[in-house]
Amino acid sequence: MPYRVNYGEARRALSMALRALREANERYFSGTRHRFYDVVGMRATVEMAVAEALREADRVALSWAGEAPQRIAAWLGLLDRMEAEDREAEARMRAAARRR
Amino acid sequence: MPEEPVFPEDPIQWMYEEWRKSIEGTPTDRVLDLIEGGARTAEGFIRGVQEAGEGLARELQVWVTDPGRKLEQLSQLPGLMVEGWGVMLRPVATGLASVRSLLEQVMAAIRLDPTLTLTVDPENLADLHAAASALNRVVEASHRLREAALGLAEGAGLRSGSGVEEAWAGLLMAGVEGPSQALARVFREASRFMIEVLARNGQGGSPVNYWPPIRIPVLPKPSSPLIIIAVEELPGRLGALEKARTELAEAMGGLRLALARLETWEGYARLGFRDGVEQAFAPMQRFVGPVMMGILDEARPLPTMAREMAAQVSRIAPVDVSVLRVNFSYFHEAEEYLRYIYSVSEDLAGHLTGSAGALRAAWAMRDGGTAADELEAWGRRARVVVGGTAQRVMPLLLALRDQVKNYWTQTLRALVHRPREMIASLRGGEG
Repeated sequence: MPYRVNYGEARRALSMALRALREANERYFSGTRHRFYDVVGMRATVEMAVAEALREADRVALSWAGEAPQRIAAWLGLLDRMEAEDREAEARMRAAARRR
Repeated sequence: MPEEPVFPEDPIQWMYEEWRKSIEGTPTDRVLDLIEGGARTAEGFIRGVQEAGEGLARELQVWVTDPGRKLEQLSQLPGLMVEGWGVMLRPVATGLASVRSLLEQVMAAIRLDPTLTLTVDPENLADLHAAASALNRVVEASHRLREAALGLAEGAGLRSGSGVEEAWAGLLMAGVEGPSQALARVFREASRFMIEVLARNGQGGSPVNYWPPIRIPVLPKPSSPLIIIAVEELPGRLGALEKARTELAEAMGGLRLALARLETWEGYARLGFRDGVEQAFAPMQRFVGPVMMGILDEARPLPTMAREMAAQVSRIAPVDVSVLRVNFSYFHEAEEYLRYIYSVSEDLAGHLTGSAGALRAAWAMRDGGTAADELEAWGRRARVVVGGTAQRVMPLLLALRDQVKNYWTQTLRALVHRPREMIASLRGGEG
């Protein structure tokens, strides 16, 4: 018997991931983020490793806000197409069985 | 033509004789004759009072310790034989200090006595003008010193709400401006006296009003503690403070020279002006000498400390270290924020790992595996990049906070607490 995807569970897992990302983004950007940058007057001097890491963290956070939802939406769309294909395949199988 | 005024060779003796004339025939006059042996000299008076006091003390001691003495012998004690001895007993008991006080009062009267004059050369008045002018330069230099000190404090970000202005205003009042006012009073008195003498001699003399304008600063209202470390400017500002101190020392040197010329006036020492000048000059000299040098010694490390702190800040974040602005409250908020984003990254990594596991179970195919892998990768990135950065920054931030606190404390000590300590010291030294 071919392995059947649990579409509901897969959608739920992806929705949870999306929600976690959104919450993390909200928490990251809300409230006090700007305060750390107020500790010092920021200017671009890229040779400093820690500062570069901070900016990288910022880029990651920004990607959560932008790229990740799109990726998850694409996966959800893929799930929808797969489920539709599965249903079509099942319908074809049921029709063939009835003809027999 | 008025008669050439002649100041008595010995003004204290003159005063004493005048006083004795005023009490001639009184019981006090008679007892003084007894005490000083009829010499009628100020020295005899002082010595006689001392000796009488000592003699009386000895007699009383003998009488108290010798029960064989009869009560009626008490009346033979010289001090008690004469009416009015009780009046003299107190000055004897308090010693020569009271006598001096009396003499000083009479000396003050001499200065105001229109019948008494000193020989005054107009050049003496010119010297007094020069000394007063030099005093004005001292006061002006002290104001520049204050401005330089406030400039250093401003560069260190301590101007607002840290009491720097109060401390420096207080220090200058105690060290320079207060004594300057005292000195100005001495000059004014001397000037008035000289002009009166010259007028009596038929000579001219312009009125002089030596009262250096002492400016009391208006203190600002305290505001939130914000450190602005002008790293590149601090050495220059410290240099300005040192220069201002040197300038004040030079101005005082000029004043000392001007006063030295004034010493050629015969009344300078006689009328007590020298004492007044010395009393005012002593705290000023201590101020520009050990006091200011002590403050400068503490302020000199500040630029180095500021540079070290700027280097520390630059490890945490890219900054322009020439002017570094740090607000104390930001440290607490930044620390909270770092802890917060660390916990956010950990939570997110956990959620994404859980979601990836659920996704694998529900969607165990190639695409599902890819999605789950990607979710897990996001979690790892959140943990490593965001949480890891927060962890790396945290100790640097705490070190910076400690550095700032240390800098703040050292700067406060140099520019606020130290002057306050010195105010007490200077006031104690004025005695």
